[in-house]
Amino acid sequence: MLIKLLITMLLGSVSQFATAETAKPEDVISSITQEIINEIKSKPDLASGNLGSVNQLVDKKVMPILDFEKMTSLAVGKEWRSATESQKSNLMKVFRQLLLLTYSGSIKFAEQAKVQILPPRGKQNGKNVVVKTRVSVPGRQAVPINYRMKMTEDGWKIYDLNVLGLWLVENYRVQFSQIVSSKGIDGLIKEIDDKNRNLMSKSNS
Amino acid sequence: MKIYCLVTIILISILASGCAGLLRHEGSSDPRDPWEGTNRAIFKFNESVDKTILKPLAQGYEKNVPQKMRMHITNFFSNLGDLMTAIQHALQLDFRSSTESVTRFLVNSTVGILGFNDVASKFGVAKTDEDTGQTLGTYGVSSGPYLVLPLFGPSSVRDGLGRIVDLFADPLNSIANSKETKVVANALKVVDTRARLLSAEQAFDALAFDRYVAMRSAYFAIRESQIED
Repeated sequence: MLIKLLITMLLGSVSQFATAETAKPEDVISSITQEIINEIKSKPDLASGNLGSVNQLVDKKVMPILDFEKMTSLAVGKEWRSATESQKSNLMKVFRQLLLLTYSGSIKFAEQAKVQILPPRGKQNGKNVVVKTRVSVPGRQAVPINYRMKMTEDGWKIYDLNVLGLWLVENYRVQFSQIVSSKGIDGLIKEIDDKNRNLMSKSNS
Repeated sequence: MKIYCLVTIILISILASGCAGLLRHEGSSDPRDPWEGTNRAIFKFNESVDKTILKPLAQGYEKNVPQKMRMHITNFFSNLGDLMTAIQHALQLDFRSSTESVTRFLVNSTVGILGFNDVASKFGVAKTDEDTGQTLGTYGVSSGPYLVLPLFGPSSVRDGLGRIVDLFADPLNSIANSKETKVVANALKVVDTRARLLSAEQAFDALAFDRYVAMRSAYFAIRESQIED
């Protein structure tokens, strides 16, 4: 009887410990989106899409919950494994800038945005989940934004996201594989870098 | 007999090479896009029309018409769209969403003064969008091959047909009483739609290394998710 009680207590404390340690993936998304929206509301130069401020926000809030190496490797595809360490770090650098430029133009909508986290449907396999959200801006149809997340040693990390049905990393993978097969890894780095410069000069003008 | 065989073999090889040639000509990186050659040509045409006419118009509109005014105009077209959406929801047997769209239309047409104000959103009745292509999709009609329509842009065989139905059924054409009003109203609607896409332009530029391929994958992905919801 005493042993049984002891075991229950032990098990209880273990499971309590486990839940405190690992927040649910939905909660990670919910708190981070709220934090980001609040940040944008409080800083006008963020809402206007100022690249320097967006960069800071990304470093502070977004990068910690991304598995960015996995994102980049998935976007590059199977050639990632044959890349050298310096190519890998260059790829991550230009890809980060590209993603920043993809979303910085839409940041002005974030002020009025409301994020609704949809309850997880069906059985999610333990370490890989999809978190579904609906982002609504008054007068427009709500935009579905979904996240692929993976359990890592540092908790849940995002490695792909889907806006309006389009998976970001998948979108790039199809196009990057064409570039890598004709121009190699260095060609891809150059092409992304050129694209970034082109986008920056357009957004400044 | 031998001659027949020979002739048959020659004929088959001619046909086969002909087919191969045709396939090569329209050869595609994507099985959903068997007419890639033609589609790419139309895509190129559309991009140049957009660059020279439509985009400058939309930019001028955004620059010269005050934001409030533009919002009222967007709301007006959106309100007529809600009526169409209500019908599509009903055809999809989704009566709850249909009622919501009807409610939006009634509230915005009256309290919102002919739809110029989107009061319903403020009351928490959210906007949805449905079209004939999506309704066909929910009944299991597959999209069919990818199709780039001149001026209208990315579509598919199913959605292109849906588009024709939607154009004819558009309430805008029944409330416009003269031909001139019809033309002006439709032109304004096109410019309004294009102007609202200006803010998404940077995102699309960043997503697209091959604009044609990126547009095609985006089209299929977005349509699929719209039909699913």
